[in-house]
Amino acid sequence: MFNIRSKPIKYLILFILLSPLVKLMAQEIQLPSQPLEGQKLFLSKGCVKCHSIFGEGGKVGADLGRTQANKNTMDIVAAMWNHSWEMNRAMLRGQDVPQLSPQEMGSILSFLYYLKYFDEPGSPSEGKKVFSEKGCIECHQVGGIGGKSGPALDTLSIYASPVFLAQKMWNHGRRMVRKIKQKGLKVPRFKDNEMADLLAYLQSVSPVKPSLPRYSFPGSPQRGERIIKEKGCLKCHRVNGTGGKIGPNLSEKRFHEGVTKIAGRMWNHAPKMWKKMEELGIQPPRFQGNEMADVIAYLYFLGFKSIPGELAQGEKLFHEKGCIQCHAIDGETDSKKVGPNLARTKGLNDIISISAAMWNHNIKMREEMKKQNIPFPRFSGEDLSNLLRYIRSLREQENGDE
Amino acid sequence: MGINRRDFLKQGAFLLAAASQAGWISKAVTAQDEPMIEAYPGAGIETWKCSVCRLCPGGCGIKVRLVDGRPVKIEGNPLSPVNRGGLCPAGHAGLQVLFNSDRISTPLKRVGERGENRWEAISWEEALQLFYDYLLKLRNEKTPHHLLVLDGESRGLQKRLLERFLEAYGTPNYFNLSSQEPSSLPFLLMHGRKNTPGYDFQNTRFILSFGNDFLDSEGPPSRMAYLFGELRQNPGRNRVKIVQIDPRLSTTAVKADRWIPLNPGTYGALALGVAHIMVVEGLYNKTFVENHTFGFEDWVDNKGNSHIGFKTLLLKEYYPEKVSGITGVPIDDIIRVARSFAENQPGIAIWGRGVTNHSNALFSQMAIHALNALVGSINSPGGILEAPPEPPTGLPPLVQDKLAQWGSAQSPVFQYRGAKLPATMESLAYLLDNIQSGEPYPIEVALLIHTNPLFELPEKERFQKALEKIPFVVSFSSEMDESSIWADLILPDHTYLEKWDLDYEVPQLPFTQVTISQPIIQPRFNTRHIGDVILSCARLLGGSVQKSLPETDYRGLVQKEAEALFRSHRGFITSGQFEDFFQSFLSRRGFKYQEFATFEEFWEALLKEGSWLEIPQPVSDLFPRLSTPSGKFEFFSQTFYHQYKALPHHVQNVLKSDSPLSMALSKGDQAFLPHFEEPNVNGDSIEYPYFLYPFSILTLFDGKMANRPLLMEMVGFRRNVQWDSWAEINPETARELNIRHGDWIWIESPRGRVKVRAHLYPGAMPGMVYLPLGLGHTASGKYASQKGVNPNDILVFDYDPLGGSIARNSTRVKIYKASVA
Repeated sequence: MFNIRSKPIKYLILFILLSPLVKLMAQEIQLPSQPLEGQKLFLSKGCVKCHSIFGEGGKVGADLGRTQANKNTMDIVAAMWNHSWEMNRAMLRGQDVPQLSPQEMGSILSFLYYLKYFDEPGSPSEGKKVFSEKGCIECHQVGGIGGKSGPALDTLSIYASPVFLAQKMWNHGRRMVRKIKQKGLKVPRFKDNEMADLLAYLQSVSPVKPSLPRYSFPGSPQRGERIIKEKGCLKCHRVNGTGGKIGPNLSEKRFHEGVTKIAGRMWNHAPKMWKKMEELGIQPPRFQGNEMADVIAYLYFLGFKSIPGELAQGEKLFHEKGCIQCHAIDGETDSKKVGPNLARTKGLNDIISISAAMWNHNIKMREEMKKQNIPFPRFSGEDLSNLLRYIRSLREQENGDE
Repeated sequence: MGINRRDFLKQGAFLLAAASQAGWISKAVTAQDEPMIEAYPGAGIETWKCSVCRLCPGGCGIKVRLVDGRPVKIEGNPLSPVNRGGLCPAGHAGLQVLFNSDRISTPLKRVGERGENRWEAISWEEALQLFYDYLLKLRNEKTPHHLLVLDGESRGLQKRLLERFLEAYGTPNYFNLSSQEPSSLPFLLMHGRKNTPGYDFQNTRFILSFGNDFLDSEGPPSRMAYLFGELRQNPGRNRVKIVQIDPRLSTTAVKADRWIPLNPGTYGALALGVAHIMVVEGLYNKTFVENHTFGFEDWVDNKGNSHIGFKTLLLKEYYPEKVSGITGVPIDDIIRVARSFAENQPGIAIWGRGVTNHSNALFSQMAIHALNALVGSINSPGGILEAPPEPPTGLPPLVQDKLAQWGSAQSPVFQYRGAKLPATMESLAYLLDNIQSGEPYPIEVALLIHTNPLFELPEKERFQKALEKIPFVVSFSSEMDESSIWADLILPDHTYLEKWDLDYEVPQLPFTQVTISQPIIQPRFNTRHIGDVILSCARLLGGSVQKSLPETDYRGLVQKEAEALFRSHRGFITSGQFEDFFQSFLSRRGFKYQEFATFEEFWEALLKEGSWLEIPQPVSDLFPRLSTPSGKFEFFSQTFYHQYKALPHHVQNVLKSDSPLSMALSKGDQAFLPHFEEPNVNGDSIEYPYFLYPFSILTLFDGKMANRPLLMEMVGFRRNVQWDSWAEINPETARELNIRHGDWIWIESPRGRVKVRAHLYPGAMPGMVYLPLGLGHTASGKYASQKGVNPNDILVFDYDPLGGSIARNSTRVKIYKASVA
């Protein structure tokens, strides 16, 4: 007779929950078209009842804007996994644990990751310093203050988004840099939120109060990927192992930052890039509409995917976390272990599906583990990556043996 | 079988509860009047429509539940950024406005003498022709400025339309008679802007309220109730401290951390006493005061004349012993308030009708607002913010012909001898005097727009006499109220549940919002939207008036204005608290997510969700240049000073020696600084030893809601009084007068007397008597008429000569048991 308390069943449940990890790293994560779509699920699934985003929402759970944004998939999944224990307890007070399809899980993960794409609003007082210290004031006027050799910047207050400011500077930058150099001035470089600060200053002192301010549409990683290819950026830059090696590798972590920071970095990088492109006879790309926001969203989302785990670390974890006690590996038969042989697991196909499965089954697992007095395994994002790398190697070995 | 009293009450209570649950009571009450919502067969299909409540200036979003197309219930719209689903009792009673059997159902033309209340029903064609003939006559006679509009309600698009019409027509005489609008004059004098700023209650830590009963009748009530919950109970933030300063233990005083009663009309002195302590103890924000204010220290003008600063005035005149003597507030309390306010920043000092109902209102408001500057709560989070921008408009540019330009440039009839001071010296008192005297010109046509001055104002005879001087008076009221009886023509407007509109300009909000009003049902009677009447006239008048208002119907105008919102790419349609937060999170960073491909999609969403919202950019950490002469917050109002000095000497002399401003101007520099003026008190202190303090109540506001049985049933729910007035008296005072709880008493002033039941209330100050406003109608429908007493009947007409507000709290009375009379 079926007895849920029996050891085989108990370990079967554990297996069901852990087995999806097998394929966790096997496939690429699909870039979202619009990560903010996940916000609707954040509401409809009731996450907002307990969790807040930058202070708005429920206060029972953590503020996910502050704790999870800009973390890679494995880190967010690990955080969800680890907190499921506490969350279940809170939810037993009257709410159902939201069930997530793989698509929904992907949307929510993308949404949370995306939140730090948006940098803080600019500070007019900091912008005033930028305007002065970076030397903008030497050539440009705003609110009647500043030099006159360059155009007045009052009308830039029409831009609500610093991305447009960056895009305008990028497109007109070559001429501007030439003039700066002719005057023997230093080409301004931007760091952190300085570009947003500068725009905030322009907006606050400009006599031009736009009736139709221009807002940017939140960047689409999918569109950004297409634009990067179309603009020929990959001739010089490398992304995910493909592309040129003349420019920096855009998969590096330093490019997975907020939109203002990256816009500033693109500007800083531009003079060097133009020079190199001139040498190579390539026309510098120009951006229009929402293109720069999309490109930056793409670069930002390159950090969504976790770094590949380490085999040796994964093997170590597999033993330390007790997986070995239940799951068969390397030729052992399933009957000797309560859990199935992870090397032979079939089922879920990608990281998002596995994450959703882990999430949806965690109540059953919690109940079973409580009955059996088994400690709940907690993972860091890195742990999960390593573990999956190891498990994947088991499968590869198994497939090779076959 | 007999039934005893106990059983009767028990069974009665049970039946009442059961009936309430079943909805029988509301049906029974309304069914007497309205067969429309009697029980009827139907599929019972439920729908909801979003709109906006127009029963007070609160601007609460509402949702109306309809069953088979019939409205059955009004609730607060949870998506509305104003009230987030909350709704006050008046809002809930809105269906009794719609289904009121006392509504005027067709245009009416007076057939008897004025005030006889004899009418002839006429067609809209005839009514409009009559109205138009008068308007045309004034234009033909080159006197368009002889048209006067007295408006008690309009805001948002309807107000924009009226202002546009009057500018294009050629009159400057648009007078706001709403008794619930907060005065914005202090902001003009000290900030340089006349718009009421936003109050950032959500981020404040301390509310120092001077006579603002914001949890009861000062609004927006539902918003304040919702905010109160947020500020006091939200675990994610510190509990906000509230100190209520008021001569009456009001609802807000009851809920506050501390209630400080004071002598009536001495708010300004107390504020200055608090400021004195802050300055002496160094508790003020020195950086802010030094960098962003003008007139704190003594100063010398460019002609070499020395002027005293606010600090000198405070130290010299408003030391605690003196202030305590004026206000009756113990010195310890003054010190405690000063320290507490300074320590709990950001904080806001606010004022309400308790302050503006005195003859010294403006200077008291300036004194209170000076506290905001002392703690640096000007243009800072948790303090007073810049007024949010107006929503965009789709109206074409104003076109004025020469006559309209000339007419609009005439001195408004409500100004004191045409004095063009920044403190405009606009007052109802000047208006009435000028109409009576025909100076500087006569008023020939007056429009009464949702205002009932013959009920709401003290000494109504003055207003009545003024009306008698006006040859043609038109009322747009949908009920036969006390003032409409004196009109010549009544063009009944739809109720707010039958009309299209866009509502904005809700006072004190720190954001821009536009809420759509859509007809819940088709108009029940032969009424017409006032907007359509105005547009019809514009069309008939033709020329520049029509060019300024080319729309042919008001619904089209609403849609056009909504299209302007859509095309502006500003703001977003509200869809909930979190969603709104997230949209503003994005927009503050320069991003916008919610986009509609077509206006049709936008329009559909607006009708479905109710409101459009624009959150201003975060408060700049770079203090902006204000629109004052110094570009700073001005303790010493140079705006006022310069314009006064620009007047010819003989005019200055008249103002100094023979004007309502004489007292203030005789004080030299003090006249331009926040200072304390003794409030006017009318009535001999020996013959009339008690002070009458009328107060507004949540259920009736200014009295327009009195013809709603639901509200009359709960009119004094905090005092267990229904369908009647009551007089609150301190038990000690009552004992001295041998008055017991429930006794009938006379309250007599130099103007007359009213009979009312005494209600002994420990929250009443000794020596004072308190009467609720809003009751005591002589017309306005069967539920309102002859119920309770109207305090205005015994108030002496007095006013603030500079700010213009009616000084309702300036009358002395005597009290005696009715049996003695």
